[in-house]
Amino acid sequence: MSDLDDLYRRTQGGDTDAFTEWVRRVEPALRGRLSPFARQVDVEAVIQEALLRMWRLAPKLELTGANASLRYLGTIARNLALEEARAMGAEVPLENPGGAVLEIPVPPAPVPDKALRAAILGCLDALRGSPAKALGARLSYGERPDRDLAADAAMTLNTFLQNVVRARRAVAECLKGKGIVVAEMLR
Amino acid sequence: MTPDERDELIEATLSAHRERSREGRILPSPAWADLPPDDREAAFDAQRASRVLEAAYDGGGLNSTVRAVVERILGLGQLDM
Repeated sequence: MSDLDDLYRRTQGGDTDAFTEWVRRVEPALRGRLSPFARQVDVEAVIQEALLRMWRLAPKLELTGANASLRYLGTIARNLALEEARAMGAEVPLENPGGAVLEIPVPPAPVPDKALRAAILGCLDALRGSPAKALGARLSYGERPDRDLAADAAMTLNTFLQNVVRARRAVAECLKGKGIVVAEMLR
Repeated sequence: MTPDERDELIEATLSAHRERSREGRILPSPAWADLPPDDREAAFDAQRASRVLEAAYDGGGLNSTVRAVVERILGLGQLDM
């Protein structure tokens, strides 16, 4: 049994910590595999819905074989993406048009990227004022509505977004100066 | 759409916050719906990059998508056996 299987087996018993770790492990790989849908569906919404269903359905699922939870997640995510694309009236693009599962590569064991963290913190420290405040809020609490983050920072929503955009550009430039281009890390 | 407006719309899609329907289903971001297809691809790439930054920034390695999902399951039961 893989460590992913073990995390999901514990999830089936209602273990929220195990599910959190399972989601942390599988989410980047799932997102990467949904790239063919990016023009047709809001991939973020599909990912969250698929992961929530994996939680809800967990006690009922009878999974067999290595990394079965990952395969089942791929099936759910693919079906959701197709449903959403059709609901939007989009032509369904997609790979595996015959109904095959969306195969998600088994994610590697996580290794904390301390160097990246240190570089990001250094670049954020170099920011000043409202852009720093806005991007800090987004990185820390990006699951909260922007209107709430803007209100907490005493900004209008538009000003908040403008500040995040400005700060992201500055941080990307700063990271580039340290030899880090995040887009290249994702290739 | 001006370049600044485009950048702000893309930025709005990077939030992991999504509204839900009455039935509880997660809805697409309104900002995403306002983007033309080419910019949706740019938004997708920016989302991936942002999640990497968030996870690295977070002491526990959790990005905003993971936090959004975990926050929701805490108020959501599992189906009975």
